[in-house]
Amino acid sequence: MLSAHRLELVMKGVLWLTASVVLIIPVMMAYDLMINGFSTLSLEFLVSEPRNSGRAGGIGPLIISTGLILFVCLSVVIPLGITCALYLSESVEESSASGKRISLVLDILSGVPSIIFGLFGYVFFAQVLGFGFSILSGGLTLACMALPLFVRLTEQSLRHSPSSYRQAAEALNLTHVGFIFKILLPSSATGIAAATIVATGRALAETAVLIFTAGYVTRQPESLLDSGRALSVHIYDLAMNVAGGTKPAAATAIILVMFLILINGLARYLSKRWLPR
Amino acid sequence: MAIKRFLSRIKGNIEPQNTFEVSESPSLRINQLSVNYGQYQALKGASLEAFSNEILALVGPSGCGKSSLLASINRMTENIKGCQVEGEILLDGENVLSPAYRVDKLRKKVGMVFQQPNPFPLSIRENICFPLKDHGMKSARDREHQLEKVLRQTGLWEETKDRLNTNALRLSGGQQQRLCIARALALEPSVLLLDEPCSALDPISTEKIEDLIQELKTSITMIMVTHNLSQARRIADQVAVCWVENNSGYVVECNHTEAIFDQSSHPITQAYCMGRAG
Amino acid sequence: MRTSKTLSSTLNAGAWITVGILFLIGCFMVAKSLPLFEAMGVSSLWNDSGWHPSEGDFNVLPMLAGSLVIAFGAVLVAGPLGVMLAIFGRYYAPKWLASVYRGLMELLSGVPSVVYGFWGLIVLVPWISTFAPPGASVLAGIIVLAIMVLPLVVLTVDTAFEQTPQKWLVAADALALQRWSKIWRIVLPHSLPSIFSGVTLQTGRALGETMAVLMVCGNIVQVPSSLFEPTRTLTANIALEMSYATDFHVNALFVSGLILFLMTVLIVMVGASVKRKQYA
Repeated sequence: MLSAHRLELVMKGVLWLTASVVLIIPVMMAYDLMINGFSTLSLEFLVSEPRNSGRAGGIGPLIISTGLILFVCLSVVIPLGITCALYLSESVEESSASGKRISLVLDILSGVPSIIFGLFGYVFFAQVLGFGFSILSGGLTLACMALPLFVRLTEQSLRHSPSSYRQAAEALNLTHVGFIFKILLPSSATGIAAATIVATGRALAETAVLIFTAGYVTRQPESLLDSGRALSVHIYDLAMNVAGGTKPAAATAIILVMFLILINGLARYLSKRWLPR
Repeated sequence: MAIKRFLSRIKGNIEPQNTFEVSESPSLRINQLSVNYGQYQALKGASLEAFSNEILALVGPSGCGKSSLLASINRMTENIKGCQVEGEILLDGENVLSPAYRVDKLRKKVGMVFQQPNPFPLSIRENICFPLKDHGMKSARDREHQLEKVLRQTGLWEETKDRLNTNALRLSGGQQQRLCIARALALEPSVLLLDEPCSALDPISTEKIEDLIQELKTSITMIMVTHNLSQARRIADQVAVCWVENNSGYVVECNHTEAIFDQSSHPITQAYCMGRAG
Repeated sequence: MRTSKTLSSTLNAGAWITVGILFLIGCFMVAKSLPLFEAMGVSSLWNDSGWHPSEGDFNVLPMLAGSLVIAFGAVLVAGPLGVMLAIFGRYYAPKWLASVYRGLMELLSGVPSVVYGFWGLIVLVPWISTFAPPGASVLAGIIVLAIMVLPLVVLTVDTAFEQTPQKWLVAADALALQRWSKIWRIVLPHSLPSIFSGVTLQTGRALGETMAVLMVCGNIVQVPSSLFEPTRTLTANIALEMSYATDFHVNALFVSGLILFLMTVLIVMVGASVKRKQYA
């Protein structure tokens, strides 16, 4: 039997060792991405069209497609998500049956594998609603996927709004609508912004959903009903289906991860400043 | 104990003129203690002495630095971010604030009981035995022996001997606080710090704890923070009055209980302890 | 406050649309699966001779096995490791390092799975193939997925640790207990339900992950008999075959989707019930 003091020393060693060893992994990943992709990176790469299935050229149109998909996704997620979050914070008690039911639905939705959303979007948006392989189908499917996360975060920030505001509004007998639009939403604006950014990050990182909703086409999209290839899908396609696609894939991965680091930093900054923990 | 005191006197660590009329030398001496939290000074230049077999009560309004003073004695202040302690705290002639003095040794010698009873979410037995084992008491028999001893000391033995394996959180608030005192006593400290130990308890539990503290002082030095003046008057031997001025706390005076409550000439003490301020 | 009908009905509608999405997904999964059940019976899912879509054989067991082995393997690696890293970050690392570590974990949790898969494909798989060809294997899947899930485990466990009542920690410090004793006897037992529920949710995530496993597992339909053999997961199967599937093949892919869907719903329910019990 080790004495408590000895055990402490042993565990201290073990934990430091584990932490240092695990740290090697992200360092290695960053290094591998850099040596494979750095030589391909240039301003030219960011704006030019992919050529020869992506082996040459750049990712210009794909950035635009990705942006459009995000735009569709967010223009559904933000209004719908805020409405749903308001329902949770304003219409029902947190502990009431319907509050709990909606919460469970959100939990399940956020646990559903993205490939299932992909299947659903393929059948519902692409086939039943007839949007085909398009940016619209992709964006709407992503919206379904990102919605639960956005609602959760928005609900949290709404609940953190000071209760004194509510009391004052009650005392003045304001209309509920007025209270929501003039006081509640503005006072939670940064929290909602942070939620938006987190949802954006989630949507940007997604691949499986987009393969059979937004499609593979690398051309510059002309409308929301055109098919468009997202950056993440590009990485997948280059790595798996294009011989010699490793370098542009790594370069695209670097760009995508850079975007995400930026977004992550922004979300952290916002939530640190405004969201009480 | 007597020999130790004798030796420390020979070493000259304690100046003889500071001995009070009780022919005791202080077992704990605080010199010019200041506690800062960043820019904010919670306590400024406090000097105090605590004697073995006596209870020293720290009284004063909130924000006067009495809890900071208490927490510096076993260096719990180190857990607070940005907290800086300056000055000297001599325990058996050694400065416990010096980095060379080991915290684990210090906290074994100086036990602490908090405002909120905080037994671990373990059984009554494990609440006492687990810390003992952690401090290297290897034999289970010794631990059981110590368990019975401290539970008897705190009057919990009769109440709990048949259910030592039940979760300590099932005990009443007063019992939990006595268990916390027992837990501290199990490590055989020479000083026990009590931070408003009764403020979260009902009057009956409070009375039990007060009785217990009075019994315990025969073997141990006790320093207690309290905001309850009548409690200080009931059980303390010495009282230190703390006050707050310009957002910073300091010790007004420290004397025998009767001297503080009945004969003090200091205006703040008069005002605070005789009910004219605070 | 003066409330209005329009407001409450708008908010209600928002909530119901969310519920509706889940309902629709369920309906579509079932509706698209039914034709296969009607034509061949449910038992064909485990009685058929294998997964040969062109011959009408749709045995999903090998892929179910692949999914389960890889998901549980990954969580088995990432779970304990994540708990250790969370302990390190919260109780052992110096303050500055802890915050760097936490920031790194948050960052890694946002890295797209396709990037993890890509790294696995160009670095891990070639490395494994040097001692156990072909390299694309169950092991590669487990490692990549474990790396992916690890930051999420660390973050959930850390949040669980944060909930430990401060007064117990203070008591432990006042008694000068060893740090490890404090963690082992006080922090871990108290956080166990939250850790369990968090790890359960991560298992669901691992089970549903598509891209990373698709890129490193080799995608051969077989019950793997060793860590070094390739396998195909349910998710990878859907991603690979959906683009060209016709007739019953499509229905069979929806059946595998339905299986995944039901498994994740079950996992979420288990995770949620553990959490609820803790606060009850």
